[in-house]
Amino acid sequence: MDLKEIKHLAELSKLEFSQEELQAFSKEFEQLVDFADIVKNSSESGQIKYAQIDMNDLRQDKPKESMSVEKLLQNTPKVASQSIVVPRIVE
Amino acid sequence: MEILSLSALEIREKILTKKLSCQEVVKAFVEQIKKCQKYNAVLEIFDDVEEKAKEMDEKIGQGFKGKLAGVPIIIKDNILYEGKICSCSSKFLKDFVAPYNATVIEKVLAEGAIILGRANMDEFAMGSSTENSAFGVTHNPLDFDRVPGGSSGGSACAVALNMCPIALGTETGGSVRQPASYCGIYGLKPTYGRISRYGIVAFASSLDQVGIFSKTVEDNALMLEVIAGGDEHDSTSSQTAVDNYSCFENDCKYTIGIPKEIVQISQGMACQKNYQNFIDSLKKKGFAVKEISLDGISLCLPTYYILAPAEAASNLARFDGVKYTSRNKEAKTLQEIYKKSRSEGFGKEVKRRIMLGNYVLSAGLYDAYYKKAKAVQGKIISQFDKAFEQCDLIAMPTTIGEAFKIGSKPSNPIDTYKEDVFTVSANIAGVPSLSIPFGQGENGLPLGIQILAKKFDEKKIYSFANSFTKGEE
Amino acid sequence: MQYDVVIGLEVHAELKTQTKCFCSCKNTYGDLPNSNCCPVCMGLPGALPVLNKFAVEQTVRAGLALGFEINKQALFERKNYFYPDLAKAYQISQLEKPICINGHLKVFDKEIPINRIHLEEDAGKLVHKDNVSLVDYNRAGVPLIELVTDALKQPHIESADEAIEFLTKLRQIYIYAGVADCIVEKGQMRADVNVSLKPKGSSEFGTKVEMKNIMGFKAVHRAITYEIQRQKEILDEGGVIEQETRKWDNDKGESYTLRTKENSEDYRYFPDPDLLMVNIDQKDIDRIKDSMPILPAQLKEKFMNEYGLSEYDSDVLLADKEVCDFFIACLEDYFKPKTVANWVITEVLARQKLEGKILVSKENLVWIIKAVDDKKVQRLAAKDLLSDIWGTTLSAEEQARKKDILADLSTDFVLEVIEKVVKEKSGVVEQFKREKDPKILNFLVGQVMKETRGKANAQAVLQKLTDMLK
Repeated sequence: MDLKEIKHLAELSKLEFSQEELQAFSKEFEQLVDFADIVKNSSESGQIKYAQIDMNDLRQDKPKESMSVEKLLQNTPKVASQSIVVPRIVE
Repeated sequence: MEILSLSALEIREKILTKKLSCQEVVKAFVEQIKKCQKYNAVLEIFDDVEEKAKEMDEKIGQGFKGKLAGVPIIIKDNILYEGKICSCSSKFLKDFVAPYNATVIEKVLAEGAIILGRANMDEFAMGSSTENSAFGVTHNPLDFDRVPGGSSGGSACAVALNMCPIALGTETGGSVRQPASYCGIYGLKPTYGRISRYGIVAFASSLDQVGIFSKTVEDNALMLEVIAGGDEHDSTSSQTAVDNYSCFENDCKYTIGIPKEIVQISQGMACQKNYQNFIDSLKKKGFAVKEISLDGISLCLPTYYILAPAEAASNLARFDGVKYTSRNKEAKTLQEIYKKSRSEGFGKEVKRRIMLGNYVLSAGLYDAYYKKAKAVQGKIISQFDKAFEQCDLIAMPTTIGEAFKIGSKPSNPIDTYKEDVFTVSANIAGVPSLSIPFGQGENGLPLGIQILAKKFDEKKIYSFANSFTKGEE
Repeated sequence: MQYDVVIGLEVHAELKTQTKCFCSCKNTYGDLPNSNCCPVCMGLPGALPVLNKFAVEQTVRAGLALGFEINKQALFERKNYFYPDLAKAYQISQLEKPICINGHLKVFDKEIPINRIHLEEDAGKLVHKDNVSLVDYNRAGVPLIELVTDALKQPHIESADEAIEFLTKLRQIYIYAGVADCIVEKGQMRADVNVSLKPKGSSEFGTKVEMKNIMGFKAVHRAITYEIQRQKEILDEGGVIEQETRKWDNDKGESYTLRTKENSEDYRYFPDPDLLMVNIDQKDIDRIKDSMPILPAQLKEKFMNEYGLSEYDSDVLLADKEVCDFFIACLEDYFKPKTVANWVITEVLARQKLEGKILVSKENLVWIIKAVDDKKVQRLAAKDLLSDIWGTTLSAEEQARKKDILADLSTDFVLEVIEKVVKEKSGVVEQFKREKDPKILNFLVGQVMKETRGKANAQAVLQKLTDMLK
């Protein structure tokens, strides 16, 4: 597993690793992938089983009370005007 | 009278007949928790327990007869109890206060349980030893140098050391049964969908279930009766009627299936002899024993280590330092908040599984890994269905051996994952499994045998366990 | 060089429902930030999605209105990416088994093939203020349908005009079917556009460029026109089109690169394990089909064939559902389609456009139209009367009385006045009899009108006088 691929995964995962961590990780990752390859290379296979529900058993479209904003945002690191604050996003 | 060694059923009975007050009971268990602090099983004793006990005594005085009236319990720290911290043993959520109750919490409270505190665990339930907790390892109740198992190690240790008669844990790949086995108690992983997952911090949604630790079969069944059932908040919960699990069948002429592949896998493992003893014991007690085949079973473990990390990578993406997890102080941009907060918030094993999960889901690899794993899972489910046409229950070892020493596991993650080799099949197949304490290893530490049944056949498992254990005494 | 243009559209519309897609919070607009939220909207740990039955029905309804096949089994996937408006860091959407597949929409004379309509959840809203962005999850979880045209099949959308016609028609159908309000200003309907060019007649597709953030149909037209020109210029100079996503800046009237193929997102779709596969029974599909409100195409046919309206008038009436509904309601009370259509188009529509709403009751309008038809009120006076009562609670009849513009239809009274005028203006009458000059007759009509203070019907008076003075 090359370092570039590991870095790409770290980006997808929104994780940062030091150079040493990355090195160690790429070795270890190879073992993990080898293990997963047992499934990939297996000849055993069946039908994917999805649990099912009939449309008519789905939730009825009837409103219920929402949670109070205080409770909802009680763990939020930064709040202003009843909203969650993040640094300004520029695209 | 030794309060601590009473079962939940006995406690309830004594409280309802006014032989004990709930306050006395709670006081005794809280003292025990404090006495056992060095085991690091309980992260926090809730500060309102005495008050709750007092309220319960009043309620009982007014005629309340809940199924758990006055029974103190401990919950794994990934179950949301409103107003209390729910940390998942992660630095990331160390200050997170649950804004609502999990459905299981609503149910146990409605039946009169007193929740004493929250139990240590592997961070986000990822691990088999409770060594992955951000708040320190929990020690094995019978050998301080060893692990209690995991990820629900704190809950298992708490029950084994009489800090409470029943504790709740959660399972994804064996996180209740394995520690139950290491601690010498009962641990149930119910049928997938039997108990609502609402308010349980998700690890792998398609495999997660709440599990139950107890010292007796009766207590285990009693708790399942309380917390099982469909839930409008959880689409994957089943509307299948809840059995009266604690009314055991008297006539248990069950046929017990012994998968030949499991016999083979256990060759040379510490559990092998104990497994054989169990089979002998079954025969001695007049149970029909039948060799069966589950030939895809060796694929369960690698399948599990594709499905679980993939779902975890997605489930844990919400912890980002923006909404409710701690935010890195230096981060200036949004991307920095994400990366720095997550990097300092998550422990090593969690990061490893997130990376692995994103790998098996990533473009071009999804079909070969995740989708294939789901197809293999489909095959395994069919094999279990077929197996249960030939037998009522399946017996296999819970763990490969006794609890291992703290810090003894190799750095190679795969070797650690192999700890789950016997437990994951029940999660992959979605079937119930109860680990019952049976036998000992060479160090005199407990071992367990797990009994699996087809979906929603928990009552059969309990009836068997009851009948089997009675003969033991 | 000459090019064929191929345009693809991805159109999002917020469904009309009481509650959100995956929780029971209200689906409303404009409330205080985060006041319509619960653990599910906020993606709190332990929260689980529970699918809204009506959102599925609405999606089926949208599909049926556009001739789609309905998948008997629908699956929901997670689309994973990090963004503050996406609480769970994944959007619940549909990939493999969307609810609707293979539909079409007639645009001018082309049946444009549509690949799919799927159901998904909307994201929250970001408000940018100074150096921060504020996150509001009220919109998070609002049910959204995404329609994707099928550029692999013929015929294609080939111009900005066709794209706008497609969007206009689509909007009309969604509104008439009752699945969405599609108020563009509220962001209830949003379109992403992709454009590719290929040498004229070539069977091979050119490189697709996607454009995001286009607010409003006019902007869509501008953005497409801009993109076609941009690509033409590159190709004419022998350049290569980059596969990319561009962002349209409507103020500047230009677009710029948002991301290229290399850094395109990997969404890691997989079936959401918190949700179940939904079985949609043929009986339910039939039930929804049977309860389908009448759609614009059917109405147009009715207007033209049964009511005898022109195609132009029919289109004008259909363009706005409020106007069309009002027209139909008026017909229930007074079945004179052409007359009513005329009034609605010339009088009601203009006022509605100005005020944003029809502010007269059908009873009042019908009274006015009838009064004119019965020659009780003169046409001009009737228009003033409509202006008087528009936006008020006044009754047309009472106001007409108050203004004293109601014709006294007792013929005796009008006859009396006519006879009086003929007597008094005998000189003029004689002159008319000699010269037969219509101007003179008009003068006499004017005299009658003056005497009756406008309450007589000029046409009737004219007729009477003509008869009398033969």
